[in-house]
Amino acid sequence: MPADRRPGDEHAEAPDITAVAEELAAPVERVFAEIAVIAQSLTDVVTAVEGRGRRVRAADLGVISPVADGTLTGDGALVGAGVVMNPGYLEDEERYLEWRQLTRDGRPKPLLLDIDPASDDPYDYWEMEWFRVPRDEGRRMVGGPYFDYRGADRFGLTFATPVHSGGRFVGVAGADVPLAELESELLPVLRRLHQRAALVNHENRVVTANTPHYATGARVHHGIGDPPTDVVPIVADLGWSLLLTPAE
Amino acid sequence: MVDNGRVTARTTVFSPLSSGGRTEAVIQRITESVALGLLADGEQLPSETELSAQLGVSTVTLREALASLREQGVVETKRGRNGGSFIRAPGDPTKAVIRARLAAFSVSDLRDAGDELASVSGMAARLASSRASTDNVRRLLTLSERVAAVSGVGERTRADSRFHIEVAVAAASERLTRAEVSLQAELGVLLWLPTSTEQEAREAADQHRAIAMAISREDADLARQLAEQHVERNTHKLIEARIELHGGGTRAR
Repeated sequence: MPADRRPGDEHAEAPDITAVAEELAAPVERVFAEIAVIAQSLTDVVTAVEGRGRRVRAADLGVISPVADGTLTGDGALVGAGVVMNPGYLEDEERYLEWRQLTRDGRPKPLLLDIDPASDDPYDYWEMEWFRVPRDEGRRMVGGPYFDYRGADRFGLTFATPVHSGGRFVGVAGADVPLAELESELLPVLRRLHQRAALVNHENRVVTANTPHYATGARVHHGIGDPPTDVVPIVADLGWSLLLTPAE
Repeated sequence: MVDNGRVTARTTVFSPLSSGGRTEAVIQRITESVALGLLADGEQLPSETELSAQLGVSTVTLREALASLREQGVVETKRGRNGGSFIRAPGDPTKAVIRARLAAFSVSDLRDAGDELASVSGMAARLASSRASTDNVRRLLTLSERVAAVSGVGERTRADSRFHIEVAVAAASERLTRAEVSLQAELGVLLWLPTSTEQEAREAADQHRAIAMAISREDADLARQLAEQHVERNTHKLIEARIELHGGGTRAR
């Protein structure tokens, strides 16, 4: 609360920043809760198959599709979901993804991508940060905002969480969320703030802001002091934070 | 999900067409995508029902478009259990074919298309300087070199176009990306000839690299300027080639 405000001055009261931070984190956590169901499904498959003493094959992952479809057809904001396998994990396919995507008429169908490393320009998911970070650092990750024109064909975010079995990295469970969907949830929260506010990702790129001064996707350079910017962690492990600057 | 491990449909190809769906628009979208290698030789198209839903056109319109694409030899339809429509990507075009495509443009058409490409590419480069993610920059630097690393008309054309499309992707702009794809399909396919030299490919790669470096250094003005100059040089080359198609006379530079 600004120092010049007195108790009793409720109408002009700045909203409780802790509450705002929680509300901004909520949609992110909700997407990860959906992904957790898919991750569990992958863990179950791996445990069952390897328990029978053989390696997992691509066909074993078929049971994940209905689970992924369930996350897409709910009232959530997900337009794509599934699992993406660590190269070399499956017995029969070097690289593989079991990924479902909503068509524009709202039905889930498989997302088909060219993932053959020998081809002209493969969809090299093994190089993408939403796959690399869970693999290399064992933690969940949100890639973007970016226009995934070779894949989901949307401007949005890719959420991913690592799946391990017996200490080995199996792959990620993940989901695509269009930025427009997330924005419609986040903006009303940001609108309550009396300052210029931008929710930024780990690269300090704008996810959503309550002012045109921060363009979606643009990197924000916030130096110390001028203008004074407060940085409030929103989802600390993802590196998402809220930048607050006094309005002019 | 993958028929034979080989796969692939690039979904951007099948996203809804902007204003109403017309046969010509479907034909153009598929022809463009084949020219840029977004659809590969032998790739199976989704079923008619799925494809018409994805493109947002009626099945009647789609069938008309497919019939025309079959006539042009771009699509082949096989009957039976493993039937469907498949892409038949033409081999590398000959110089005569590329010159015939070029002849379809007037000099003023080329100037006009070049202006549009310069504005889209310049703006994309400027915006990419403040919006590119680390992933985008990595991919831009990789793609910038590719035009000099490959050989043959088809591969060079695709490598060149991919770089420019990626700049628009790095600008985090869906519309600029679609505009760049469409312009690359129109103009990009005129740029490389079987007679193009290693030296020319090297120059293109150097220019791509300079643009990618300016973007990675967040130098928006320089990135824009370099991208515009790059397009202007290419347009200049195309106009020069177009003028020469008239034969006779001497070369006036």
